[in-house]
Amino acid sequence: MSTTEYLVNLVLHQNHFLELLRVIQAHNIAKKHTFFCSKVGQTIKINTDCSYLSTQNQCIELNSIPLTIEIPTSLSNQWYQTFGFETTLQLPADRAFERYLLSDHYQSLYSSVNFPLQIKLLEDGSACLGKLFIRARGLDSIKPGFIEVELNPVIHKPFLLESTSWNQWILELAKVTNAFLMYIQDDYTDSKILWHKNKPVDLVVQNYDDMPDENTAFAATKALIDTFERN
Amino acid sequence: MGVNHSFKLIISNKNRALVDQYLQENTLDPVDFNYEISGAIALLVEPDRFLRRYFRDAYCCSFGYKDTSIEAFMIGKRCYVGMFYYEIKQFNPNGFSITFTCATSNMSLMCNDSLSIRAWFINLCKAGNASLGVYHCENRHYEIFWWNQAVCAIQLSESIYADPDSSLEILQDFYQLAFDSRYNAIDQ
Repeated sequence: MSTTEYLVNLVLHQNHFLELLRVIQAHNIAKKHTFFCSKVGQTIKINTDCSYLSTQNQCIELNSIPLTIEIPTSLSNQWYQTFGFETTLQLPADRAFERYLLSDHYQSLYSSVNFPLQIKLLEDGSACLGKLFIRARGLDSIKPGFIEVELNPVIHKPFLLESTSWNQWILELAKVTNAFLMYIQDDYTDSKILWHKNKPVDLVVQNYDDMPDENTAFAATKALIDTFERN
Repeated sequence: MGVNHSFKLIISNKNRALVDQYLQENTLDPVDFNYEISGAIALLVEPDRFLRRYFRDAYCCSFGYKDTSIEAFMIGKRCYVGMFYYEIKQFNPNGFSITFTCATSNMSLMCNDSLSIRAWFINLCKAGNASLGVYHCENRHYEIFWWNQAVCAIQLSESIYADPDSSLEILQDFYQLAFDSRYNAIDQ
């Protein structure tokens, strides 16, 4: 089973990345993040006084991060060459969490591919969910000043689709970061757009990536809308 | 109340004769489509397993299982299946639309599955050099199955019509970012 079968993509202005980190931190049970940057020699500036040279993973206490954080958007628009970290979330437990834990099917799936079970119910009625891999990249080539953040939970997809807790949490991420766009991808075949320009939306697009490029996909979509509007 | 799935094609006026010829050759008891611009027809298609199930009433939700032989509907190597309501309308000064709507819910479900039915409409798009072919799966989504002289399969939820202008803007931004994300999704 692939760990990338379910992704949440969030496009936001780089100035709002700190808000994103704060929301994640508010739900982060470990209270620390492991930041990584795979490109040797790249620098992640956490504040004006302290730069991390990312030749190896850096573990820092997020509570100690001051109010400025600079993502190196101009370095690259390719994934894995910019910035990322992993975390473990604490969210309210809902019925989807309980079903997940009670399901032998899910557990056997994970044990068969040597994944540890990643969810635990806690005594206060919340649930621990992890790990969540988060990475970012600059979008200067297509949308200057903006970054794209990808949330990649190592969790079976049907569980997340059903979880009210999770879906509310990702909408909260979009809201507090004034996100430009947020969509869920299922291995690039099934995309659900949940947020656009500071408001929730609900559009599902499938198989668009069979089109040669974005202009062709848009032209076909425009033709569809025009066709049915006229009739 | 059921669902009535439909196929809609946009075709240039100059290809009208080619469409008429295709309909003459691939429908049961064809009419003069220039004169009768709406009505009901049965398609002539090669039977696939979904059509066989349809003729055995397997798409019916009741327990009244009828083992109807498909042979009764065969004409040569093809069977006829209907009814489809059709309607031909002027779409713009240069082209017309032709819509085929399934008469029943069971037929709609069958059309969702049948590769032969889909092939029939793709061949009509090819014959008429259609600019657009759309399958409307009512209450679920629209599927663009033909665009710009080629087969494709983009599906869009019906919610695009809640606010079409806004949806277009959203989808333009989405395509730009999602395609860029795809091109740059280089795993280590």
